[in-house]
Amino acid sequence: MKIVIDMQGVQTDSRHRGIGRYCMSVTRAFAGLSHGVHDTTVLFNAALDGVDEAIDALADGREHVRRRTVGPLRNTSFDDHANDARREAAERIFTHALDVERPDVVWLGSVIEGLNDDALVPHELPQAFTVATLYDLIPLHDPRQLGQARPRDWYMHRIEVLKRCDLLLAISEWVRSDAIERLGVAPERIVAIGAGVDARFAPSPPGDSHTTLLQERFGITRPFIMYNGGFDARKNALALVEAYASLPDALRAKHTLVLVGRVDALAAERIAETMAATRLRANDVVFTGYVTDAELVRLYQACSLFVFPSTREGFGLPPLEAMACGAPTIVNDATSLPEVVGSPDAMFDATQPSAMSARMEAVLTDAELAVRLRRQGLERASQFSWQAVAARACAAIESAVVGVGRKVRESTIRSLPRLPHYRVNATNVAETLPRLRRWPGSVAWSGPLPDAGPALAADRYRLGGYARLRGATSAADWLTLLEEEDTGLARNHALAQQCVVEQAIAASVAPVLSDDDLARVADALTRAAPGKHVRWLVDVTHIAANDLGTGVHRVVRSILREWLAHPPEGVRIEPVAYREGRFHHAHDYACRLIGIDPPGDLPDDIVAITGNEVYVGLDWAMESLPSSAPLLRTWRRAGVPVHFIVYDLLPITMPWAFHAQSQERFTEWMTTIADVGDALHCISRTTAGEVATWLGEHTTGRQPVITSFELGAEAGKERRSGSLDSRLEHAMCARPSLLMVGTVEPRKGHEQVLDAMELLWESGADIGLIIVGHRGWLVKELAERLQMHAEKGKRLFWLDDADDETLETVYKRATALLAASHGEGYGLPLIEAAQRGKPVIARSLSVFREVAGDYPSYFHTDTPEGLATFLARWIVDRPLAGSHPVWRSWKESAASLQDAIKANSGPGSPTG
Amino acid sequence: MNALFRRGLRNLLHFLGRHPALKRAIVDLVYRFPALDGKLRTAAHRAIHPEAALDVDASRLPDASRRAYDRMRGDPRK
Repeated sequence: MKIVIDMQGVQTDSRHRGIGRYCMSVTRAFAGLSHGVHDTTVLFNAALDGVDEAIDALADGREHVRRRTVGPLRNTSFDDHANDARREAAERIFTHALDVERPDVVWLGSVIEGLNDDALVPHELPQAFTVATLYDLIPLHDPRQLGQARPRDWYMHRIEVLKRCDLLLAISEWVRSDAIERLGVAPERIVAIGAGVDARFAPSPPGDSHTTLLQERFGITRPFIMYNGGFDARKNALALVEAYASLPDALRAKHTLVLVGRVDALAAERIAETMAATRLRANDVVFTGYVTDAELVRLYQACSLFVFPSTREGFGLPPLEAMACGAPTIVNDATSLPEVVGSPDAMFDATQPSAMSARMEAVLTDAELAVRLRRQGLERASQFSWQAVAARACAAIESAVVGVGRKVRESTIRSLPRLPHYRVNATNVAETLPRLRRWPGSVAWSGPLPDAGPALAADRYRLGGYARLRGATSAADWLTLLEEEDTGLARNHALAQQCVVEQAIAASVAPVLSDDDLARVADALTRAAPGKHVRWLVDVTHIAANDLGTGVHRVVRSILREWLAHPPEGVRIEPVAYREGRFHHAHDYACRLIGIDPPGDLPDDIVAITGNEVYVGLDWAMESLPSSAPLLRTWRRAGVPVHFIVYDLLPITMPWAFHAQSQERFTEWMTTIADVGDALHCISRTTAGEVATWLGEHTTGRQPVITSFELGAEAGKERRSGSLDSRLEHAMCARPSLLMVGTVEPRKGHEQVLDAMELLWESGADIGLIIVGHRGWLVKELAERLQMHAEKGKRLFWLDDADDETLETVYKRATALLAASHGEGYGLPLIEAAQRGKPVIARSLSVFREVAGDYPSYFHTDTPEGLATFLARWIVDRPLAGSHPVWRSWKESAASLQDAIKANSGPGSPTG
Repeated sequence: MNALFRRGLRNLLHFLGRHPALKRAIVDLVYRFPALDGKLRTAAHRAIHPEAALDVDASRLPDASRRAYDRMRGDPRK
């Protein structure tokens, strides 16, 4: 079955309470349980918080669950009349988002939300079989709790939504019975699935003492009786204070009462009054205020007795957690609490004066009873697991859905939209298409196909992205284009459904919505359905604006060119660039890259996300990422897997070779991609290892997947040579010459090489040194030394603006490539030299060994003397080159990166 | 103003990070007022996650959204 789970219960303020914990735990267990059986999608509300935390919490089951978001549509809370129009539009879109992929089941995780936040309920019940979790109906027991008319209207509206659901999943038998009685729900339409307790609630290991924590953090110095929960009237905490006060003096003197949880000002005042009336001293009762989950577990583990006197509970998670931690636990014999504790020994009747204090006294004075309660509690708690809850929910849903089959709700069948009908033939198809796009409708073709296919660049692009801009089109392509916009006659066609919602909003609330509000509504509605085509959005922000010709930009060009020419199957490659707060399609750059003139009529300037995309940070977006990261976070929440390519970690591993500002920016970039990215693809195993180490040391929580792939190098490609300056030509012919290729910057080792060469020249060795590379940073002294050198123009040459042809000729004439760099992300010059049959002398770096194998002659020295000796010996011996790995072409490299992206984008994600 | 507020809040959070006892006292105090607690949590989240500023506006819509907008505002053929 296709199941969509509404996750707003883990997004509103409920995420800090039991409902959020319940919703998340049961969803996680359900996803694990239904893996391979059901196709589960979780739907978040983009206007609410908590998506990142929920994604991380679901990470265990990430391979099982697809995610989508709806919106954001803000300012829709029920508490303000001014939100009514926005809320109606938002609820209609929410219904559409639930229905649009034609799921078999929609599961509403928490319906009682949205009073003072932007949580939504369906405007009308989805067409799918609709299930909702029911936590309790306690406000119906005491309507005064609901206060003014607006909250009451909100609550009753939510109750109506619950009543219309096909199946309710109650969190206890008591809630189930209550719903049957108070809502008139048919017994077969409501199932009790219970609740579970997380594994972290467990007894303390033997020998583990909490004395220091209790004393220093909470000021607890005596054995204590504990309560955890709210302090509103139904929680009955005042009765607990009175019961504690009525314990025998000696027993009370031995035990503190510890109240855990949020105490608001009014409740604090009432507790103080009760303490005064019962003559309790201030140090008899400890208020902990906020405690973390870890602290809560320790309090449960350390208490002598846990008391839960609540008069009404939908379930009663605190006593279950206390039992799971091994605390002797007693509860009020009311509502759902007996279901939780099970044993009559663990119950008292809070309506009877002194019953609670009598039970407390019994447990505190009878060691055997305390041990029995502890043992029974542990046994009982072991029966409550989230897996069991999910299994009961799954069984209830399956049996109910099998019973009714896939239903189309009679009461909510949307009427067929009033859509235009187009009669299209060979003569009018070109002029009909633009109208059809503006005003979708059903299409009927008559007569023969035209002689020619679509000619407009925009139409070719729609047919298959940039790959279709070149080559011929066929007459049948007209039908493909029509099909894109044709709503058909079926009411469940996604575009037809969208039109129904548009018409309903246009007829009801559109006139009163502001332009910006309606724009947000239109955008949310359009993006509620996943796009028809899987798109990989390749970030080319920097290279599109300024191709610097660096190694990184060379990789970007080579891989993107391959992807554009041969896209992964079923995927459209879309280069995008970030500017003015949004990503835009980089049509001009893409066309230039594949060698065609950019047509002016390509559609869709701003990139719209529907959840059917993958983001690939192929370029090193150091400058734009700080601005684009917030947008990428929203994309990730909407189900877009985010991938980055990491070229090296050098500013971090070799800080001395970079400006302090560059290190800072690079560290910020790494921190951001670790936070936003789902996967980091490194250009070598060495870099991947460095990234893994850095992440381990500098990040906490979720870490992206790290992979590596090999770069390409074109062997056997015809290369054009140029002519050299006559002095250089003569110098290279006259003596052996060593070639260094790469930007002149500190880490490249030019200084050590120059020192070594000077020693060799002084000793009479006749060897040339040719440096090809732009002047980089932090090399002022070195540059001056090179420019003023006595051997300049004789045996020392620096070509700081050599073109490809010149480089090719220098490669031909050179005796060997000298790769003296202290650190590299890869090592393309080594491969280039080897492919030209040139020997390579290289520093012994692990990345060079990974890239070039045994081909180079490696040196291990950092001193000029050592290098001079090595070079002198090498020139004499000329050792034979060893074997090297099989180098890949750019086509293979692009395919390898493509595979890594596909493998790490999750199932059901848009990987083609 | 928003940028100033965000920077101020971020500085405050850094300061509190260096003084855990003071942070604990403030958290305990704020925790006693659920409405204030909720609002502060939301404000802190927005300060760290400024995505709300990325909501679309009527002047910058993708093509498909623009067409839906036009259809809801009124028939563009008229």
